[in-house]
Amino acid sequence: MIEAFKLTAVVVGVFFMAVASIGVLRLPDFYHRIHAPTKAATLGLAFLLLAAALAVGEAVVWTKAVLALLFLAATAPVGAHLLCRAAYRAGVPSAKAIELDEYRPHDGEHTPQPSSSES
Amino acid sequence: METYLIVVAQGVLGIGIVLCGIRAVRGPSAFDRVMAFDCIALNVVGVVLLDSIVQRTGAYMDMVLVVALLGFLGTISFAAYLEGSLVD
Repeated sequence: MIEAFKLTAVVVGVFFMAVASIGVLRLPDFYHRIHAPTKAATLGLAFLLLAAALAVGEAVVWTKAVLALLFLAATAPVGAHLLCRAAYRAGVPSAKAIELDEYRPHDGEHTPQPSSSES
Repeated sequence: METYLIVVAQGVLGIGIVLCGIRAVRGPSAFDRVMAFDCIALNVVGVVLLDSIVQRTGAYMDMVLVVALLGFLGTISFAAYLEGSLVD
């Protein structure tokens, strides 16, 4: 029974990892491509960690697997957000026009001007 | 049976590493390259986990944690460097 769970987790995890890699190669622009390793690869690694913990079955391995999963789930969105914001500010083009662009600098007179007090 | 399936799974992850490598070579911007190397690190972690299933040892879990930590640190530092907030 545990063997069946383990092999199912291996198949599902490898499927999501493969989807992430194909998405990195095939999606049209950077803002699409950053989604693939952030979400699909994290889910795939969650299943692979589950499979490894089921295969070994020691308490130490379960603890380290849960720790690694928590760490990945906490850091992958942060890294993707920082990278995406840096790409937006660097002017990386997108494939289609962005409909809702909340990072766009405003042009009105209430706009806080960028401070020129660079010492 | 199980060993064959895991070897095939490792082959699939290896193909994924090759696909991310193509994106890292072709990528139009430096951000694509950083993202592709991050994805390569996650695929390497997957291969190591599958190897630990074959050998039934928990000795590789530390390496999983370390590679995940280093991948995150690399992504963060490259994002800060490319954004220009490290220059000051």
